[in-house]
Amino acid sequence: MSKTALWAIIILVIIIVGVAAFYGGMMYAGGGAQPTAPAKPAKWTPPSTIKAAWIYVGPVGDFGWSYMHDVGRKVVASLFKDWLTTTYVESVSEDALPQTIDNLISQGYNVIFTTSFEFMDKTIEKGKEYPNVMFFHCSGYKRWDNVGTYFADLYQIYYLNGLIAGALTKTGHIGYVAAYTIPEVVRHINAFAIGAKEMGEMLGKDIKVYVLEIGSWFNPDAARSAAETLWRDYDVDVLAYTEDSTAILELGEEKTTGFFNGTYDHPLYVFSHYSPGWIYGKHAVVSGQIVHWEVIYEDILAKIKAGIYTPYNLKNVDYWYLLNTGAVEFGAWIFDNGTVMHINPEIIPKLKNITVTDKLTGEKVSAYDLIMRRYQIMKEAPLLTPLQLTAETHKYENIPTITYDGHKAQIAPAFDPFTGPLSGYKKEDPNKKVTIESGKRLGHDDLWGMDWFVDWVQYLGKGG
Amino acid sequence: MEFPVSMVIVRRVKPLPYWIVPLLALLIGVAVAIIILYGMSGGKTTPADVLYAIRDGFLQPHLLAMSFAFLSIVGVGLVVSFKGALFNIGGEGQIYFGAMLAVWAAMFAPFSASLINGGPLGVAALKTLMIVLSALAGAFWAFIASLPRAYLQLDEVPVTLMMNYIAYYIVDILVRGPWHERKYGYLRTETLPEKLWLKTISGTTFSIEVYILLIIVFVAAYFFLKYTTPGLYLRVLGNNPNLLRSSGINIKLIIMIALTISGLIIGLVGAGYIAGRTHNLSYPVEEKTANYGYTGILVAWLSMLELIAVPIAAYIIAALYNAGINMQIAGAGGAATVFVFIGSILVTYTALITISEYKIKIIVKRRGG
Repeated sequence: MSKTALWAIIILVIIIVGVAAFYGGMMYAGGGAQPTAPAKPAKWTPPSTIKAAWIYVGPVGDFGWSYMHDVGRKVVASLFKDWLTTTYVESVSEDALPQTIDNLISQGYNVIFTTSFEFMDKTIEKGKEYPNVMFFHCSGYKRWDNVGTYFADLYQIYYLNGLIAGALTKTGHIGYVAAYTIPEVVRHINAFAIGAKEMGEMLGKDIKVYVLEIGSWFNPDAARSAAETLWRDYDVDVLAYTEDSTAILELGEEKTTGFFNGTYDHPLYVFSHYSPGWIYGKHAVVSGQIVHWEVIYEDILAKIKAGIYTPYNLKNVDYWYLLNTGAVEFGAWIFDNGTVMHINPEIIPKLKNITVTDKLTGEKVSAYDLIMRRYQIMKEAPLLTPLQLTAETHKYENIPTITYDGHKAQIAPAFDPFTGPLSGYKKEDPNKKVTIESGKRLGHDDLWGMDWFVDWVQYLGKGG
Repeated sequence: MEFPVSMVIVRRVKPLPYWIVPLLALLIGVAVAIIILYGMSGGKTTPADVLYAIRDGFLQPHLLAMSFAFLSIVGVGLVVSFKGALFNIGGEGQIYFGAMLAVWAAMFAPFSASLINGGPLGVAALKTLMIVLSALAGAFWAFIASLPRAYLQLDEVPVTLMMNYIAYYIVDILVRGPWHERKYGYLRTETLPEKLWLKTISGTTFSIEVYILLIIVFVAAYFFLKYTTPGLYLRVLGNNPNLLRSSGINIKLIIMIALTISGLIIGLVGAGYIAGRTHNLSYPVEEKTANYGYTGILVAWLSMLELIAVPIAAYIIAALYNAGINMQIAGAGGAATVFVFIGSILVTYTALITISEYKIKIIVKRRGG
């Protein structure tokens, strides 16, 4: 028998033994590690010191999503410094999440915030593994006994931004640079388009919204080049976006100042995203969306300290905070004294000179007044806030009024952009039409699963 | 005009013992990292912070268990090809092509549902099938890259590298298109059925299945390199290809076998990564990847291509990543700290490897001499 054949046999034997051991191991592992339900303690005592950790998908220096979460963390860390210690881990990929959570828990952290949609499944897995730790996942829809969810949504702000865009555009071509076209972003694109169309139509403009997707939450180069493409090839002169850098604001400033001094034939007005971005383009940044995650973090941590939230009752905790809660704000800048610059002062006179009809009242008002009226309507809805805290009560959120004894009580704001008639097409299959009948107001679930664009949105695909 | 100073590089007759370079690289690299982090933080991150984080990073084997195993498997796979001076940079593509077939078998194949519901034996069969398909897919992906190397003498480095992107984009197309979950329309597959997950011991990332795979791979690679004829030819190919050519041995075949086996081993990680770590594929994979295919290259180099040193190198790299997380939790630096560690060690290593194999002499010429 040759030596080679001998070795071949040995290797074969090793493989066979290995495979057998593999099955053996699988039986062992499958039989042994059944998760057991946590025994509920008779009485839950909140920890005297709460150690809360935030896990971010991007760098905190992104000046967008992760940056604003970290601002929220710093606010609550200072406010509750008597009993709260905090830390954060940044630029964590989905893959590294489990190890990061294990690491945090082994160092005694007992409240964990995971702030990216893609962390959803693994947050639930870890929640089951550590039943005595409280988890809060941002932007997801899966919960567990000790895993709650929260989100501050910008769609009303995008609608208000859209109104401004419709008033400012000369070409009628409006742009949107999307990170991904997941339901959240599709909802924002549609709200922006609905606002632009509402304003544009009254001014006799033919509004089209062009969408380019860049496939990344943080990619300044791709965002900039996508915006440049829309500006150059599609005559877009007003643009909104979802991306976590300031690249588009800087591009907007370059194009808009170039337009003012005659270099370019059209400007590029932009809306800052997530954090106050006016300083990145004092002429081009018209308005924008601002988020105050601290509104939610303060509520969650105060309730943990008070013993209201425990690791056994988070299953229905689901914050979906809109303009009425203060967790999101319409504007491009926050001054040192705390006042918000809703609209760039250079733009306000232009908006005041445009006269339109408020379709809710039939009055003739300036475009500026219309925008601020809508803002006020959506901002003040005191009976809405308690409904926005739990998964059980979201279904009431699109009820505008109830009547009792012949009186009316306002629940949801008197106006919502996602009210029929609306018509659109499925993102997956443009031949499939979607129609929302007149007067119907979309609810939480419709908005969270939104997979269609309104008709005047044109999805150009991936670019940048 | 002539420069008065010139540099002469001479190959050392007796290179330093192989373990000295990685060890020195680690020590000097960590020292360099300490200095950089101290400067970057304006003195806030003390050497003690860094050393404590590194100590904790190394002393948490229960957290490192899975990444250590994956890095070891990739490292072994790469050593097999690197031994023959075949630089397979395509680990990422081989992993993702494997992961793709594993996901297909688990969720989209005609037999998936019946096997999952077919009791423990069906589940075991499906798990095994995922692993086998994943390995074969990795082998296939590396085999394709080996053809231009064998027949056209095209450098395998760019070819395998480009194959990574082809694999990424094929997976992207599937995840964006036919495979994405329908309920909310997010661009990711549904989660792998829980029965197919690799079981880990609670509170750790240790999975007996992954370790059995690691042991099989390690032993098989050892025997392949040491005791088989192609293994012997492969080692000769790395040192003296002309000798092989002149003795009439089919070099093309050796190249193809080496890269294919390398891909076969690395491909295993695809199924492991899906069943043990991510439980889904998520678009765009080129951004979501854990980069085991690339980090494995570092492991292979640090091991000095000694199979026995691969697990040591893998443990060191996994522990340093863990130390980076520890440093962030301690508030001693951002995500960049991990790259400072890895980067310092890599740069030191590259410098040292040159010094260990070559003598650098600076000669000052005397005027009028």
